[in-house]
Amino acid sequence: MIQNPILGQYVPGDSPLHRLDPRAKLLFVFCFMVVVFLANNGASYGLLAGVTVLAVGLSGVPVWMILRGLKPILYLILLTAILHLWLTRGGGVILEWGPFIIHRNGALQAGWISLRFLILILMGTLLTLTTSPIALTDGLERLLSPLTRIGVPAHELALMMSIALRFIPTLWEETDKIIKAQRARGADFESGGLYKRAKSYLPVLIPLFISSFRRAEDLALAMEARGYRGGRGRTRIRELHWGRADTVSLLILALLTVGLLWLRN
Amino acid sequence: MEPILQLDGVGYHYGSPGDGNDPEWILTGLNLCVNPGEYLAVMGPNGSGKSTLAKLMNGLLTPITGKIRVAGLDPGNDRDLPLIRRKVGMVFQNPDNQIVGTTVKDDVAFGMENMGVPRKQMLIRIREVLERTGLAGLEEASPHHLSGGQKQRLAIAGVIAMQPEVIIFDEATSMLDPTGRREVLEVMGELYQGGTTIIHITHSPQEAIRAERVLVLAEGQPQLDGPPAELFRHREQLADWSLEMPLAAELKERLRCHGMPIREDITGMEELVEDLWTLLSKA
Repeated sequence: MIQNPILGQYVPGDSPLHRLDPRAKLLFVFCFMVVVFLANNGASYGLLAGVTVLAVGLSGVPVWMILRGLKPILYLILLTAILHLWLTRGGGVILEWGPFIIHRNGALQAGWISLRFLILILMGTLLTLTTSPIALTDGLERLLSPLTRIGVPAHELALMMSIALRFIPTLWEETDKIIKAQRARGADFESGGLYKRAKSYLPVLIPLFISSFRRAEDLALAMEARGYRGGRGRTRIRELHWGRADTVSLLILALLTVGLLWLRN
Repeated sequence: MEPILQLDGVGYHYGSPGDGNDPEWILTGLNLCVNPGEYLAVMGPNGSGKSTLAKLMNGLLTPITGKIRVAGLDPGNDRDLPLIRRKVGMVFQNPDNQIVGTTVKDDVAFGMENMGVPRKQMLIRIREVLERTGLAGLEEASPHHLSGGQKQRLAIAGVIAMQPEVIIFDEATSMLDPTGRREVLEVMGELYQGGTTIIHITHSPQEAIRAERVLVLAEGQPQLDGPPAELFRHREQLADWSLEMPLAAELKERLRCHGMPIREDITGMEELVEDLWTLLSKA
């Protein structure tokens, strides 16, 4: 069986972060990602790191799970760090080795940028680890709904996302089935170079696409038969509750912003 | 009694009128009346217009000729359409492709959300319909983890939550295993007992004989319309309509041909077994 990559993200739980309203979490993470760029010295980065560690602690998600999520991004962080080490000048040379000259500012910059990256990724990961995809969708729909007046199709976007979520496991299962069927007919997915292997997936993708279109047509018909007429006049079964903790989380965000403005040079 | 569904001279063909080709009519001048509370099975070969008929009945398609009235409403009228969708529910063939929600509860709610039912009432109805379809306790389950029969019962739950007067089952059992099929047929039977009008489109005479009335469609026209026993009186023609005799009926016919005194109006296996027992005890 192939692993389902997307639904593996969310770790169900009952931590303070899990209990927060998805709107609060989305707002928090979105604003956080902006204010991160305010930090430019040890004190301000320290504050950000502190908040991040606190959030990780509050999430109740095992640390190894969070670190596992960081792994794919590690190379990117390393690469940018090396580039900064190498290319940023000023502040005097601290190491010289052939064509490799490291300046003080380069070392500092590399450290800060890596830390900033790490903090951004951690916060983003925490959001998806503690919020179910469907709650995220709901949160996004409500947050975007004031924008429907200027033509943002908030309801349609949310419906699209939730249908995608609904069908991801179904399509994975189908992919698996097609792969097995093609294997039984002698298809080879393992040997050859990258190009050849990629090409060997064509006989999997084509039937998958065809069946997806058929599914989409069936689903559209079924939705119409059940009286779907777009977002207007609909009631909702899923409710969001804005509690005191949600307001507090945004207050913390405000305090953080003020703190950063005060601490930065 | 005012019929719940009334078709007068309904004709339909696919393809637009202006594309040059002579359209192939799927249905021609079809007249049909369905009374409230009836259990009607619709049979016929592939392409005989069974599914088209179903889609015409709740306004997914509009007839090219003729007129349809659904509970006195006109599916051609956009203002009547939401009400028609509420009154005539539909369960489709593929269990996977009609589930919208990411959880059982969400999916049952989908139709009611479209109707604008208040949330409190939705919760009450969800509990009730999941109980009726034997899915209680699975509220938060992902549809992907359900069996075929459960998925189809979920589709039914979503439809009955809208409290329709008619439910059309468009080959709703054809993709299920025997267990799933039995479960769905049971729910259908209960709905019928509860007074819902059932229209069951099927290939299987075995399933059709559960209905109180069978309609055989072929070449755009009803070929036969009557109680299920009528079906077996036209045994020779069944093959022309690519239908197969159920085992019990076939066996009965052959035994009768050999001069065995077996009742002619037998439709089910139980009755046949009963007759065979009486015959044996006499012998």
